[in-house]
Amino acid sequence: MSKSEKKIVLKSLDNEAFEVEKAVALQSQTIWVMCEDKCVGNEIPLENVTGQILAKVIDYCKKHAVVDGDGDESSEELKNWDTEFTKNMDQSTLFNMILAANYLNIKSLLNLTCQAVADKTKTIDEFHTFLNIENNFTPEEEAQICQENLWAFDD
Amino acid sequence: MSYLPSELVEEILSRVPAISLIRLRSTCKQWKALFNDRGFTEKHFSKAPKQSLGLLVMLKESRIFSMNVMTLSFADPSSNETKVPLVPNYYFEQVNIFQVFHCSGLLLCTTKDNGLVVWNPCLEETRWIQPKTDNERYLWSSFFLGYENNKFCHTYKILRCDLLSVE
Repeated sequence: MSKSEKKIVLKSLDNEAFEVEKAVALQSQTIWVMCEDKCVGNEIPLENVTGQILAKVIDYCKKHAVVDGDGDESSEELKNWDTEFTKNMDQSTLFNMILAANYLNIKSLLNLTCQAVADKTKTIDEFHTFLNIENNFTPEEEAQICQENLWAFDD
Repeated sequence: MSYLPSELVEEILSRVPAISLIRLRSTCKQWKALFNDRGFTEKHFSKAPKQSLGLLVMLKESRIFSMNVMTLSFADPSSNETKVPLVPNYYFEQVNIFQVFHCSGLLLCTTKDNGLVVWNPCLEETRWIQPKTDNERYLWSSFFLGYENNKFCHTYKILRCDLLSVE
């Protein structure tokens, strides 16, 4: 395989191009299927992901890829890297990372980002904002349910 | 921010610790229904971080009380502010409890008026069990609760032991 065949170009929604090793990109099942079907050339347009998010996804995939024997990181080290990776992400970035991981079908990244949201989101209001949900109970119904589960509310 | 598709919302919620989920029950009707869905609870059981919950259950003068000792702080012995919030539960105020049997977080209670009820003190949910026959001999029976634990479900079974037929 020549050097150029091992590389692949990913193009984001806002037309940013990223040249990456094929082994890195193929962690995405979506890209894998596209390549298998030979329905794309060496450049893959990703219409749902912005350049800013794609850059982070590629960082993740590089770390988790086994490229030319470089992938011999200990699982402990990878786990720490994952923790650091999501630690300083704001809610909006995490939100878009989840969408991207889902669209690109990278299971481990989806697990990681969903877990990060579950860990970071603490109050009911934060859950509402993040998951864009409205309280559709009447105040009486809400009070009733809270009353039934009083013990869970004392901090 | 836009909406996440519902399957992704489920992915996130199935990783939220159980106590936070209970708080979220009061937030919207879809979630309350979701949290009671068997598929979701099994997913949650396998994915969410496990929490240990200290729950003290007391039977006193035929009344049953549950007390939450969850927030008791063992971590910092130097702290003077160790608090033990006790939240007595009065659900059973009208019920005279005769016997209590405990199994994996659930309580099986027989009442003095021949009732049999399974109580989940965490969710504060109860289910009354209808006896099949022999109602008059209910008080002469002992009841035990157990479960069959296979990969797919957690099925509870009640064992009845008729004291009059045991020699």
